[in-house]
Amino acid sequence: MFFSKKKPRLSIETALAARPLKIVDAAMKPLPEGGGMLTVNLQPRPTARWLFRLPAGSAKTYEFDAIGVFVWESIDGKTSVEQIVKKLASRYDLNLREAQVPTLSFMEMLIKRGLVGVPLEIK
Amino acid sequence: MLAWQGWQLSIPPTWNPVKIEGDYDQGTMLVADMTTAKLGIRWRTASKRGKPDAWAKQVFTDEISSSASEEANDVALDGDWRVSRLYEDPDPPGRDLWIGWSQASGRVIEIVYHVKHREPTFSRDILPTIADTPNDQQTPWSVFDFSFRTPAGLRLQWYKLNAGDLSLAFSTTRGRQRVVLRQIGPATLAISRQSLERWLFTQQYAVRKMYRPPSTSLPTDVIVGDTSFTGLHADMPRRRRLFWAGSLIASRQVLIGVVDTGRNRLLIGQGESEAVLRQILASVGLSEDASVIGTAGESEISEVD
Repeated sequence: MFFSKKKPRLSIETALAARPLKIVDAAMKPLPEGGGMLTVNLQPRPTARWLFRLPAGSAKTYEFDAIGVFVWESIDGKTSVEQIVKKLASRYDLNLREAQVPTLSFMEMLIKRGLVGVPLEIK
Repeated sequence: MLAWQGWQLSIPPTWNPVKIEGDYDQGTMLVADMTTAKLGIRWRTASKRGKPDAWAKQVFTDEISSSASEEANDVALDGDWRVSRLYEDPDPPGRDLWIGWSQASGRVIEIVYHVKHREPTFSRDILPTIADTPNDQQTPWSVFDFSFRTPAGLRLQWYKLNAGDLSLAFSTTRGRQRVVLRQIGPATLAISRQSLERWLFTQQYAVRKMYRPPSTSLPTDVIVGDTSFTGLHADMPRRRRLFWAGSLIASRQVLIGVVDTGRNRLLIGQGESEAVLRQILASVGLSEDASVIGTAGESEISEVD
């Protein structure tokens, strides 16, 4: 608690200007209803390997709906979050605010799950 | 177009309300684009014995500075405004402030515009579009992409503005007439998750303690805007054990659900009066045309008792 470093809080401008990229090597498998399934191989952390041994081929599967697939496919390391929001609003005829709020939450969830990373400039 | 609690304002399409508080008598709203706050709006019912000039001077002093009152200019706007005064920050970035005292509803309103550099957006494009509608007239509502008009006498009771799922509930002052309107979008995704009949079932779940779920939903033609769509209609009778509350709780609730394929939105209306529901649904989307706003009285939406 006393020695943990506080992570810098991103401003909304920085969050929208960020260009996320996929950090897992996995392909999205399309589903009939328009969604998709993403299967990611599990890799335990070096410290955890001493405690837990995962069976070979262990994987975790994430299910996306149609909008989630659209956002996932838009993540390429070159497209900013703001551009993704505008593409989503245009594609599904959504209000910008209606597209922005869930997209940012979705991005945050993808980052927390370790599927997406955001390179930050070090000043 | 932004229309809330009787106030109407034309704003750029990239601006949206991000915080709303209060009711018809007093409230606040913050409007922002994707990154920055643009407008701060505050309204309240004015004191009948209040003096406009003294009130205006106090507001400018509280919000800007004591000299702002002298630097503000009167602005001529359409409508009946007892006070309409604009202060423009001479050295932006800063805040422009417009205050108005509406004779139509007896309310006062303050709008703060966060200006980065001197440009005429606020004074030229936004301010001239402001209008006020008293509560005893047909009232336009427009938030995000959900716009409609309610009959006179209905007041907003609660709302849920979630991304893709907007709900607003209205009732008369005595609570005898209640209307709930819900818009879900995109409709193609909503219908792919569950059928329209299932959406109606989840809507009635909220009142299941007082009303029996409908046995079946019947197809019906529903006019939304200028177009007729085939939707579903369901009746929910009051539960028998509540027969003693005959004068307190309506004997039935009507549910109407329709997919507006033109706007790709699913609309659900719930209320005691089918006629009122259909009239409100017929006005959905019409307010998105700015020229339609302010023509209260042309369409015949009957006043609700």
